[in-house]
Amino acid sequence: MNALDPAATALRLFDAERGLYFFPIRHHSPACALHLRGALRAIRPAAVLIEGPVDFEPLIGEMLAPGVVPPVAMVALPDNAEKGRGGTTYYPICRHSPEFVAIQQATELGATVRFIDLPSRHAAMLSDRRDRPDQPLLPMRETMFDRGAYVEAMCARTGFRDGLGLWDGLFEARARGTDWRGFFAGVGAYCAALRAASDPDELRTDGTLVREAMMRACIQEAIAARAGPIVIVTGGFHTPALIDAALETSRPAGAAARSNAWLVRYDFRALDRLNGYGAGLPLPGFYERVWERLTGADDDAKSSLTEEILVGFRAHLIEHEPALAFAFPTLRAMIETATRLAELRGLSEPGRTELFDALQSSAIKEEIEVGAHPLLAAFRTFLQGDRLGDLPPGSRLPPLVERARVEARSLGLSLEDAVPKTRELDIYRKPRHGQTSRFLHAMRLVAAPFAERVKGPDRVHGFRADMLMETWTYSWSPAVEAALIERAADGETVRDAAATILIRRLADLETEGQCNNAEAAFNLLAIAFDAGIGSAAEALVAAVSVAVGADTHLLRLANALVIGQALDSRARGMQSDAAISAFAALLPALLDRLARRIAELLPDLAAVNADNAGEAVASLAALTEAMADPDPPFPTQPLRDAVQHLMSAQLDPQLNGAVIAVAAVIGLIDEAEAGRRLSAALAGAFARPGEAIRTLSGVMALAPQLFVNDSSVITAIDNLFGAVDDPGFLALLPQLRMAFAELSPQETDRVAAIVAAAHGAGDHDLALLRQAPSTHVLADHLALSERLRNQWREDGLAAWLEPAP
Amino acid sequence: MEQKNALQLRPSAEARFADELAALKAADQGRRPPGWALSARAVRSFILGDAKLSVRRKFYGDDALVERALVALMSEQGLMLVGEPGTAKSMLSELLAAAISGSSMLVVQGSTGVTEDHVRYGWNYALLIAEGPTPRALVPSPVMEAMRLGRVVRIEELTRCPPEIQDVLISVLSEKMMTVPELGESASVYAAPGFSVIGTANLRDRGVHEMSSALKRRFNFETVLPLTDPALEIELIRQEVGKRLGQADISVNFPDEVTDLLVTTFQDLRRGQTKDNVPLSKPSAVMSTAEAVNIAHAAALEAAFLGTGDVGGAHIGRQLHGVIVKDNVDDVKKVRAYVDHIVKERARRSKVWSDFLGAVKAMKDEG
Repeated sequence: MNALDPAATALRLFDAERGLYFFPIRHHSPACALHLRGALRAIRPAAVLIEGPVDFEPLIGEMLAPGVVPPVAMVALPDNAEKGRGGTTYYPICRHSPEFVAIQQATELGATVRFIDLPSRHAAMLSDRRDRPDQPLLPMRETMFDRGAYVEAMCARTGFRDGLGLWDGLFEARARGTDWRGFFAGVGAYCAALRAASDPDELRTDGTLVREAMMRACIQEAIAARAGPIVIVTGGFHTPALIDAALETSRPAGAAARSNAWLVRYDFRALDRLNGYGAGLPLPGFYERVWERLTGADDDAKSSLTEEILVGFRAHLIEHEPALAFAFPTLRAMIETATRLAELRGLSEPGRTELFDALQSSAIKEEIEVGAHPLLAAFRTFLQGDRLGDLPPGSRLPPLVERARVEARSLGLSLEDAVPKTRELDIYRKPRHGQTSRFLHAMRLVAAPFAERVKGPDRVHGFRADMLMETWTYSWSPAVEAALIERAADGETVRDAAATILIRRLADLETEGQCNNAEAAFNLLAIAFDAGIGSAAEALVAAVSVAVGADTHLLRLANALVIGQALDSRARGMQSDAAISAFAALLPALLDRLARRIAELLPDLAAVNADNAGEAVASLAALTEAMADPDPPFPTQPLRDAVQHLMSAQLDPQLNGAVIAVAAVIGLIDEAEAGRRLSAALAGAFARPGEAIRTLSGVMALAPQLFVNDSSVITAIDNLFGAVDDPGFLALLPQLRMAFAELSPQETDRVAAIVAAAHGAGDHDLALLRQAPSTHVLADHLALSERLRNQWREDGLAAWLEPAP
Repeated sequence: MEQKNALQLRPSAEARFADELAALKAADQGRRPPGWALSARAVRSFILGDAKLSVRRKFYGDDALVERALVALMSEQGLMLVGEPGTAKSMLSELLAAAISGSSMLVVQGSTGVTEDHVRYGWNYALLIAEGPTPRALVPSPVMEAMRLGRVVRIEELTRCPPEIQDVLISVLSEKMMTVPELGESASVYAAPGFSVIGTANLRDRGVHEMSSALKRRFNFETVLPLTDPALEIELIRQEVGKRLGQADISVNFPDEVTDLLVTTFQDLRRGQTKDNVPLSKPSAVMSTAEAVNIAHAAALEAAFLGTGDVGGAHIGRQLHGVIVKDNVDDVKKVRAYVDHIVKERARRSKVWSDFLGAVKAMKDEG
């Protein structure tokens, strides 16, 4: 007999003589779960074998512990050894999973429960059936139900629109009823046909055949140890390969491997995302309601499932998305439509498809473009559900998760619900706040969804002085837990895991060819500092030191100096803290090296031309920022020498302005001298006003006060404008605006007053100017006047331009 | 006014498919909604086909749409079919009416010229003057007829009717009755079971009247989309063209390759993307299946009467021009780009495509 003959398979599912009962299921199918429960009660098996990774067997007991609320997932973390085989293995379970129901029922009946699939991290289980490498690994993947020649042909014949509709119509609609034999015969025949239509080569390469060899071996073992009937629950796709084939006598190689397996809380949203990759039926929220209905004690409930769902959806919309909510008569029409559609399609009651159809037909009064409409999307989200699973306190979890929870609680963070909370931390003055801040920074690295810093010392807000407080928002959600589980292999405490991650990022810099990027390395160092990871300090500082030596990029080095200097000053503020003292000890030597490196590179600025001047000025600005510290933690003399040297060099005009500004700020020259040099530079460029303005913008970027405070400089620039004609001035205007953008409004007023006074205008004239139209309009009008004037001259009307006598 | 079928250019759906309707009626076991000629499932089979009763599929595309439409018509609601022109909205409404009521002849053809007489009632003025307002002098509209007889009335292009006419429908649909004050205080026509309204509308076209929300509420909306499956479209075109040519006793050789060319061109331009995902600029002209049928039909006529009876790429090429310039000149540029880049490439490998290219180029040079 052909083992893949669908009809034959269906007939041979239940063999009382051999005492073997095969149950082909689809994951997360309430109909399969319910019929399976009925069957187990009738058969009263001695052993129940389930298609689950054998290394997850220890989790069976945990799953049944009081206080466990599905959805939960069995997960296995990648072993440190299996490099490149990334991705955590997930085996999600919800209340209506046939596997879960079988485990519950079998335990109730006193049967042994065994998992019979290969270990979760076996090579055959990791074979790349994923469409993208960042997808989670799923031992239960069953895309064959959704696509393929057989499914398409069946849809065409039966009028169902897709594989899911087909499954619903053929099987979920038959959930009520007691004929489990008939039901599974149908499922068995359908799955056997799917199997017969699949590509044997693919089954070999994707590991299916090895897995099935394992299952057969496990069945054989169970037969050998037989104490009564044996029930085998597997994905329907595998059943034909198990039922008639000769049983294997030994397990495949590698079947004894163990792994780090854990039971974790899960949520419907994550579950539905997995289902997007073919892991069973989607919309867990919907099918759970179905399951509740099917198993509910109150059989003659006041409302039907259709009513319950649609009424609930309307209430949900009114509360959360009032713009989409529909009127009560529409609700009535929807219920009627769903019921009639079910009748027309020969179903006993409306299913998933009928609900969507009813919504589309009754509530959407406009054209729907390519099947997408916000209301349909909202309904999908609603049926997806938002249930969070739970585990009882004290459940076995990867140490990292428990440690993170304990530490968070000990720091007074609330983990009771997923509502985001805000926390203000006085990081310098209160040691406990400092600790909390470091924990939150470390969590940012390990499980980013947990917390976010809204405000705190950084380059934008200022590192020192006035920024004493940090503000955070945080919330504990399954996403946090999932992130922690994925990081569980990185360390047992949050700090250890964070250190591992930092070192890895440092290594990433190297692989990306960024090992000479001093700024990036310093940023990592700053993160380690914030998170208080003293253990990583040495490795990081060593790497940073290498980067500093190799980097030839002045801007990155100058930025690194700013970051390093801020770290140093903060470290001195928190000297008493053990986690920080490691940094405090290492920083000075590093900064010394960095400052000398910058001094080495500064003379190269002489070669910078106009194209790169912007970046050079930015480097000098960063340098000025670092050197403005009255007691800088690095040697300034080499830097001062280098700037002195630059002052006598022939520089790009913009850079020249910037160098004069640096020199003034670090006290190499006084402000009067700076003013003189600047006036000279401006005056020397009178034939090339563009250059003069670039000089000015170089100053403005670093030290606008030099310009504002020195009326001789203002006069120099004013004289320059006097020498420019109007079109020339208009051409300069954009650059000029950029240069002056650095000034504060008060400074602008001050400059304006000086210029006005020089031209004999009083305050009154200035006040008039304040009501002037916008500069654009003014410029347009002036240009127009000029054109008119020229026109009149050409037309021989020059006399009109003379003031009337 | 009944004409013999042979004399009609296009017989009604119930006449064309009389055999199928009879077969369905004979085999119909299902419960019939009040006033319906067939059960809902039999109507579904009439439209989507039933191999056992040799009932042909007449509507291609979304089967669920037909089911939703049937449910809407069974309920108190009217049915509004919306979508681009040429997506078989009118055909679907005709088929539904023919199968549900046994007649698709009660129809209001919507336009700005529609008056209240077309949706309520008018008068035979000679009789009105002679006898005063009597039932004999009253000329009922198709809507009133449908109410009396419990049938489906079709209103084509509903959004082209002026708003006051659309308003009349609101009370008809909600109260299912129509008063005739001229015949006395209590004179009204009540809708018999089976009465329903199917509207068709193009919501995006220019020169249409926005429907009021009160009217929208009384309709269930269904969007009829253009076909996306090339195989389906090819089948449909072949069937339609075969039928039209058969009626006129014309036989031509219409190779599969040529139908394929036509459908590929239409699908490419409609989607703004070729099968190999090369992006194109989408012409604004309506590239519906109905237009493709027209082109295929015209190409076949040209081959039959002016050629050897073999339809080739050149025939399609010459007809395509007419569809494209119907709407605007910009489209011509977009199609020219398509021809220059995509068609030219295909012409290298296929005789049909190269004939097509030649014909389109010749048209271009004239224009």
